[in-house]
Amino acid sequence: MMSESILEIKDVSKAISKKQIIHNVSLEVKPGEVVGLLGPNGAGKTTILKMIVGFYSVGEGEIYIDGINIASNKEKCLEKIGAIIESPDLYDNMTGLGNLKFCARFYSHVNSSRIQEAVELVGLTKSINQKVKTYSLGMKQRLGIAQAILHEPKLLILDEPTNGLDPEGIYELRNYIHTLTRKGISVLISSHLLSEMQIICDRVAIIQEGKLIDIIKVTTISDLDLSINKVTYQLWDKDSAEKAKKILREHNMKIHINDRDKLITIEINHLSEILKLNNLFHKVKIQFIQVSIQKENLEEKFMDIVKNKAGIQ
Amino acid sequence: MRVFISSIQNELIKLLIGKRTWITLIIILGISIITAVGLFKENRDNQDWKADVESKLQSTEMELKNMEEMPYKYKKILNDEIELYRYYLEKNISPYEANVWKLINKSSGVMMILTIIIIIASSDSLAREFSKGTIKILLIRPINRWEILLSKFTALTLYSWMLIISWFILTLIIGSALFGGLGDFNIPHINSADGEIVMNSTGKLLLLKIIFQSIQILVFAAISFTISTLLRNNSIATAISLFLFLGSSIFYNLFQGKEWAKYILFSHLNLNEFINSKVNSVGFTLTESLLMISIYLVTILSVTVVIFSKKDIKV
Repeated sequence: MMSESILEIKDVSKAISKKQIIHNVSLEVKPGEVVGLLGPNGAGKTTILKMIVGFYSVGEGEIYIDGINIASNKEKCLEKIGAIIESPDLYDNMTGLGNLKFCARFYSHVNSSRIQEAVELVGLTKSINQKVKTYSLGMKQRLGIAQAILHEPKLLILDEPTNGLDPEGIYELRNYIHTLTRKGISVLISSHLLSEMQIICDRVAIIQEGKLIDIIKVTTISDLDLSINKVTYQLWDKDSAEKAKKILREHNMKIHINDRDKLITIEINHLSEILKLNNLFHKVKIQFIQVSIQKENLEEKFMDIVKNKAGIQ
Repeated sequence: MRVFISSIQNELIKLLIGKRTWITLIIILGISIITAVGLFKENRDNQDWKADVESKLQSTEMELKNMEEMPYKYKKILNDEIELYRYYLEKNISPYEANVWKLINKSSGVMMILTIIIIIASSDSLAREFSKGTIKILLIRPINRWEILLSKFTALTLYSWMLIISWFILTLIIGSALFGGLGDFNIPHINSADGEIVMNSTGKLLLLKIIFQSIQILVFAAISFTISTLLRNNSIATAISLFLFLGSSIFYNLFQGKEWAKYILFSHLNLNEFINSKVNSVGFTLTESLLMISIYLVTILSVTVVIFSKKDIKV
């Protein structure tokens, strides 16, 4: 019998070491839908995901994957799930292809042409025979996605997938997700970044202190003012930070500097300026670890809406 | 079953691509070459073996005569040596006669190194997956947790056999090249114990040693694997397992004589006792000892599987 929901979480609670982490959470994900779990760090998003993939037992309540209760047939449920939890963990001393073959052996229907298809989808064709220890974080993330979608799961679970990705990587990730949803794959994605959720998801579930505060459609969020006005680069080392300061001043950019953490915040007017900055940094060999985009007061505005909806003062 | 076999294949690949395998093979090769050259030189330099054995017999007899107040244990060793030299002369058997089987038997100390390597590999097997986070790759696959554990343990067992076979074949090749062929499988291996001369076929003795030592490796792999699975710490697991392995005879001696001591695992691990005797020092036959070891092995692995299957995985 076909189930209407790919994922159904029914009144799920979970206590770890006698501390209640999740309180009566209920959520559904329909076929082809992208649902986000949004909340601050420590809100319980990862705990929910870990229960769905069976790392944690379900304390109270039930979780169904395509109509099957995970508590009664976990292995059958896991056949339908692909996931990256927290970070794409890979075997560093194997090649990218070795890692994919490793995962493929668990599924009878995954053959070499399917592996090739997944490699092409994430754009790793050229580097697939290199050892994973030579991969950048972005490449690892892409290989992680290839690993997760290898067996064509019905539900893809991504936990903070944009961590460590540069804007180009985030853009690519969004494209993969849209490609997957067009094929009918549902995606459950967790993040503490509202801007990310707004771009990727159809619906967003707000989690706070282990409770589901509200589930809202992304169109509601889109009504907010989303103009980008700041981008922060975390530089690799002091040398790169110094170089960046110099070159940005030469380009008359308005910058804020945090020398201790090697952070430089640049005021911009449009998303396209980030790509220009990336190209500029690449040209003069400035290395950076992370880029984050800030939308002024967006989170606060958003939480106000949520608080009003939930009647929280 | 298909997933379980695939999982064993995956685990074997992980073990084989590691640097540890190459380092082990180099150590094995080194030991085999050194032993082979030593044995070859000993054989070449002692063509007049009778004169050499006679001189050794005389000097040992003198030593025994001159040191009348020596400890009984030392006297016993010297007496055994004298018996052995007399036997060689009487039966006209050269103690320096060498061939491939004698070489493999002589280099069988490698098995001790292999046990240590397998203990380290077993400790690493699951604990490393936790420390590297790769356990998540396994847990999100459609495979039971007990299958993950048993496939790891099965792979470790196969890996230890692969290493043993590699040592055997490498030494066989080196020996054949040096001694010009395989030689007599039943070349005598003579020992003197408690004043009695015991003669065995070297080849048969060697095979028994390999089988018995493989069982011991399996037991220590299980102990190490269990500790690392329960504590999720490979260093502690390696340390405890090595301590138990290297100190197993001490534990046995410590509890020797106590009625319950015959039921502890360590009383049964020295299966070499059965090479020259039908019962071991605690009075068990080989079948009974193997049964005891099996009970311990199944218990150890069952506890590991039950605990691992029920625990929440925090990574």
